[in-house]
Amino acid sequence: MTHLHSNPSLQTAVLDIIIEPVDDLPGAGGLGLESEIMRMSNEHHKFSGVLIQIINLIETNITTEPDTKDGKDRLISSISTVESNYPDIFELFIELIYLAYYSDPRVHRRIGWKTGPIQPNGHLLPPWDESILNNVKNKEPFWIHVE
Amino acid sequence: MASITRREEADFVVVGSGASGAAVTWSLAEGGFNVVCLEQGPWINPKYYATNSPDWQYLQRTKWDYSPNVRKLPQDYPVNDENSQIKVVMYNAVGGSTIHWTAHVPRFHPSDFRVKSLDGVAEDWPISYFELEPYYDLNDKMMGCSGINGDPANPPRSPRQMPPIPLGHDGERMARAFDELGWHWWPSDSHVNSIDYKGRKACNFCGPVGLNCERGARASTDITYIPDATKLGAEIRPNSTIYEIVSDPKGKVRGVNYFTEQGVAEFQPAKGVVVAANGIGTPRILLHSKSESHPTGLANSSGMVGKNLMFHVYAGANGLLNDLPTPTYQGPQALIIMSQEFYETDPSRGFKRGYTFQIGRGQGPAATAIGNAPWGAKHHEEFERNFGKNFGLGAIGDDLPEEINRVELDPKLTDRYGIPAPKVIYRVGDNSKKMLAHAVKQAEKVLNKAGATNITRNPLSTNTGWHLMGTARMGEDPSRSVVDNYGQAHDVDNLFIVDGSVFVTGGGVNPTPTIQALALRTADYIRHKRTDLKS
Repeated sequence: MTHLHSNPSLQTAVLDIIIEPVDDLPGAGGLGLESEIMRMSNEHHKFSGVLIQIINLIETNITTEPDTKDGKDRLISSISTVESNYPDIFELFIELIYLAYYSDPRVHRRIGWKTGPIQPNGHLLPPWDESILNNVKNKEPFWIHVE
Repeated sequence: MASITRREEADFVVVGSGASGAAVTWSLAEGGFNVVCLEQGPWINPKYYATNSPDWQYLQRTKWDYSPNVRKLPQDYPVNDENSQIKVVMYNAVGGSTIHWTAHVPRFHPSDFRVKSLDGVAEDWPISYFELEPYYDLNDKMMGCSGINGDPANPPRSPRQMPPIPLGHDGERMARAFDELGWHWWPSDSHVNSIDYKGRKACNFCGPVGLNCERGARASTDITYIPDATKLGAEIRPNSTIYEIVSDPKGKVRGVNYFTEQGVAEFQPAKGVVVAANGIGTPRILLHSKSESHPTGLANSSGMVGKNLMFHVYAGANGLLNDLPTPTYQGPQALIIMSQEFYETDPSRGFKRGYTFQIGRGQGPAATAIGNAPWGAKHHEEFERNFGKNFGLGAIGDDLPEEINRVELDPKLTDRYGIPAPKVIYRVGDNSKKMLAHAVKQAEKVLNKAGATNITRNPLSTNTGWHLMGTARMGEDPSRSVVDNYGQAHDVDNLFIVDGSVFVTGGGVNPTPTIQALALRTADYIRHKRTDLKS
C-alpha cells in the first residue's frame, strides 16, 4: 500500500480522528484511502501536497502538547491547533479527506447512496400536478405596468 | 507580435460562444451574414461531462468547479478577486457558462427597466420590457422552455414549449408553506426539458444540473443555437483566445487579433465585431484594446468601461425537512419554485427594489459532509442529520450599480499568453445589505411554516458571482454609457456588445434569458439596419 506521509501510522491515526469508525466500517484511516487520496492530490493542483503539509504540521505541533494527555487527546488537540493556525489549507485537507471517504463504495452502501455515475439513471419524481397552483392562481396580478 | 497570419475577412466576428454570442451568431447567420465565432474554450464532448463519471463529486470541486481560479484549465484566465466580497465564477468552452448553469430563466419585470422613474435609483434602461418581449419568446423557442403561463407576479406570456418540471415532495411542501403565508410563488420558467424537445431528452432528475448531462435535457448553446448556426454557414472556431480588437485611425474596428490553441497569432478581419465575452471578459478586452484612436480603451470615451459591475447578492436560510418520503437530493438541485412576494419596491421595508426567493435542494454525500459535518466525534451524527434532508431557501437580490464596483486590468497578473487578467473591485452596497437582512428573516418564516428544523441563517453568499453585469452599460447619453439601446458602441459604429455588460441594472432574477433576448434584438437591428456590414 502506498502511504503519502513518512509516518504512516500517524497519518492513519489522524484520518481515523477526522472521520471515526462507525458501525462495522473503519474510519477514514483504516479504510485504506491512501491511493485514492494520492490520485486526487495528483490529478488537480487544488489538493497538491495538502495532506503531507497538514500531517507534517500536526506531527510538529504534537510535540508541544502536554504529555499528561493520552495519545488520542494529544492528537485531537494538535489537529485543532493546526486548524486554528492554518485555516485555509486545513479546509482543503478536510475537503480532500471527505471527498475520498464519500466516494468509497463501502461508505455508499452504509448511507444508502448508489455508487457510480449520477447519469444515466437519475431519480423519479411524482409527475407535475397543476392543482398545486389552485391557491396562488387566485392572487390578483401585482406586477407594475410601465411602458 | 512578430508575424500574424491574416484570415479571410468575415462580415462579423463574434467574440464568445456562450449565452449571447451563440444567439447572435445564429441570428446573423440566418440573416445571410458571413459569421466567424471565436471561442477561447474547447468543444466538450458530452460523454466527458462529470455526470458520466463515478468521480463526479471530485470533478465538481476541481476540473468542473465554477471558479476559473480553482479549475485553472488552459482556456481559463485568472481573475484577481481579492478585493471583491463576491467571487467570480464562469465557464469557458463552446457554449460558455451555459455549459455549467442551472437554467433558471425568469424574466425581468417591466419595472426593472424603469427603476429611476419608479424608485429614484440608478438609471432607467433605454428600452422597455415590452420591446424585449418578442425576443424573450424567440429565445425560449430556441432553448426550449418548461413552465406555465398565469404567474400573477409577471405579465402574461406566450404558451411555454413544455409543462413545468415536477416540484417533488420537497417542492410541494415549500409551495404549501408559501400558500399558508399568503405569499406569491410560481414554478419558474426553466430551460430544462420536462419532456423530449427538439431531439433532446427529458430531464431524469439526477440532481446536479449544473454539471450538464449527455441527455441534452438542460439547454446549453452548444446544443441549441450553435448547431443551427453552423447549418446556416457560421464558423465556430474553438480554442481561440482574443488578444485585442483592432481599430483603424478613424476609430472603426477592423477585426481581432487572437491566439490559436498552438499559440499562433492570427488576425481575423471583419466588417463588424460583436463582443460577447461576459461582464468580466468584455471590459477586459475593451480596456486592453487601446489604440491611437481609443487611448483609454476601445469604446471608452465615457470612462464607463469596467464601471458599475453588478453581480446579484444572495442570502437566505437553510433547514432540514425530516419527514419527506424521498431524500432532498432527488431532483434538479435548483428547484424550480420561485417567490416574488418581495420583488417590487415597498418603502416600508427600508430599501429600494427587491428580490426573488429560489430553492436549493440537498446535494450528494461529499458536498453534504463538506458543508455540514465537522471532523471528529460528531461527524457521523451531523452527516446523518443532514443527508437527504437539508434544504435551502435563497434570495437573489437586485444589486444596484455603483461606479466604485468595477473591473480593471491587473498590473501584474496575466493569462498564459501574457494578456492582463481582470482585477475585480466590489463591495456589497448599503441598499443590498438592508435587502438581504430582510430576505433572511422572511426565509426563516417560510422554512418554519414548512416544518423545517435546525434552521440556520446565511447572511451573504460569497462564491456566487456567476451573474456578471453592468460593465459596458447601455444608455442614451454617450458620456454616461458605452453602448446605445441596440448594443452598438457610442464611439464605434461597427462594434456591438451583447452580453451582461450592457445591463443598466441587474433585476432580482437570473439574467441569462434577458442577456439572450438583448442579443437577439441587437442581431435583428444589424440584420435590418446595418446591411452595410454584409458582403
